[in-house]
Amino acid sequence: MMGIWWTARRTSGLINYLKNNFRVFVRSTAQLTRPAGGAIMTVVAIGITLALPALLYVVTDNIDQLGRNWETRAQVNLFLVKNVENPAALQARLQSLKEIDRIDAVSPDQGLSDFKKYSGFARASDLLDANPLPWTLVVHFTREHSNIEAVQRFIDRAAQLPEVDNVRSDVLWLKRLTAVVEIGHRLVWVLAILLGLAVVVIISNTVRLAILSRTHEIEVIKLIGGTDRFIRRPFLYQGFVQGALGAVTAVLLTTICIEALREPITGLVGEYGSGYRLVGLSWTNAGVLFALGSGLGWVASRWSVGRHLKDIEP
Amino acid sequence: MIAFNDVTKRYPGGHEALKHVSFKLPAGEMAFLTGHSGAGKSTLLKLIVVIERATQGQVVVNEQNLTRLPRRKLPRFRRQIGVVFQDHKLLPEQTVFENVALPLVVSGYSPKDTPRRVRAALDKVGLLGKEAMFPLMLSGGEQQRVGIARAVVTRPSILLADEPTGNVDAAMSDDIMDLFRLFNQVGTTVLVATHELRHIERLGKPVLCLDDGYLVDRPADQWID
Repeated sequence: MMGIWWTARRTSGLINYLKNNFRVFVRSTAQLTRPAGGAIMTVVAIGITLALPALLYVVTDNIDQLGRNWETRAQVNLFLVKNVENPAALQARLQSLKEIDRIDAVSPDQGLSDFKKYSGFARASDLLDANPLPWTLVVHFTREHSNIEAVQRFIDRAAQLPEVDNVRSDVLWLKRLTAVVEIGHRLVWVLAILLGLAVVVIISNTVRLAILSRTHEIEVIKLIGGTDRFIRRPFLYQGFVQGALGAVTAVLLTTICIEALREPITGLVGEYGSGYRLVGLSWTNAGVLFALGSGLGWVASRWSVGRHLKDIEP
Repeated sequence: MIAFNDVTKRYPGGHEALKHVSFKLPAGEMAFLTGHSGAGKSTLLKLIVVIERATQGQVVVNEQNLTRLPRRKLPRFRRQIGVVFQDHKLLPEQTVFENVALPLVVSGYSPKDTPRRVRAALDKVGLLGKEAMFPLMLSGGEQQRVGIARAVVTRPSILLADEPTGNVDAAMSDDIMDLFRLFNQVGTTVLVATHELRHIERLGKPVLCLDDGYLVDRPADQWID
């Protein structure tokens, strides 16, 4: 009997606790709208601060995607020495390597014909006595080996072959692109940390002002037996809500910026024969940004309240 | 029960507001605390609510030695005491209802019980029907009665009042003192700081008289350890 009574008492206590928490949450959110201008400015400031690393993340992510797009079609051209009459043996040898998907052999005649067709120097090539082009093997890599390391390994080995005169690949360009993307990723982290600190400073300062403006109320609550936890709660909710709204603003700003850039970037990459489409913030990324914003808001207000609440005594 | 045993309170700078004060106010009793301005009345009340701590001696309230009470236990302790201030200390942005309900919210009372308890407290002080008004819309006497309703809404075992009639006219002042007597009649220990001898004579309750920090007059010997 005592057990049932105790369980019922604990359950009703928990319900009261949750109800009180919900009321404080609603009230804290409503209080944000009271000095409407100030609260909106704070949320917008947080939004812009969070949007900067988010935007940079989207840009580097897109460059990264572009690089991967290239990698899925990785290929290397092997220009053979002039005295190779038939590359079939070499082709068969290379074809047995696991990283190779297929190898197209381009004869000197085919090469010259392609040169005339695409280079715009058809007349100049007519002046040549003999075809200067060697046999060329166009090596296509399998999808899982279309990465810089595998391609570079193959190039190093191919360059040692006596039948190979010259090796051409875009791997160097890709290496540079990857380095740029890596710098971009690092920059995103650095910016995210710095601007995350800025968000903490913005919210903690807002909460500090809110505490100062409610000094009298805090004194009264302490006098009638309010715990620090009770007093802290509305400020924590306020910080959480500001951070969350700031994150939503950041998602909106990032999306607007990406949409504004979509058409010119699609046009630009189209000029290079790519059908690549700009990718915006995914739902997961937006969720991470939301969690980050609200989490930072919570941490900032917790820190600020912890610092300033102990100074207020009745 | 409130007991002071050789209590001295020295503020930073050396000023001694209370000097070797000893008395005992048994549970369920009512007494007046009197003395001229600066005699130490407010300091004595602050020691009971632990706004200040005694420099020397012991303050014991409801069996708890306040000299050793850790900070984290203060909120729970303060919930046993209702305090009425001369300046009311009401929250101007909250309605009368919200002001009176605050101790209930702070103490974690069920939100379902809150309206009933608040109305009961407002009824006792004669302000039923003014729940939706804001403090600044009320007269000084009405604001003081809101303060009293807030102090008694949780039915504390001790009720302290610091010059509760300082800002009201004579008739209202009598009404307020009658309220304190009423709360005392239902078992609440009441200590009222006032310098108005009229109330002391009218209610005929024991007096603790402070002069320059010393307790110069106190009630019957049985109150003193």
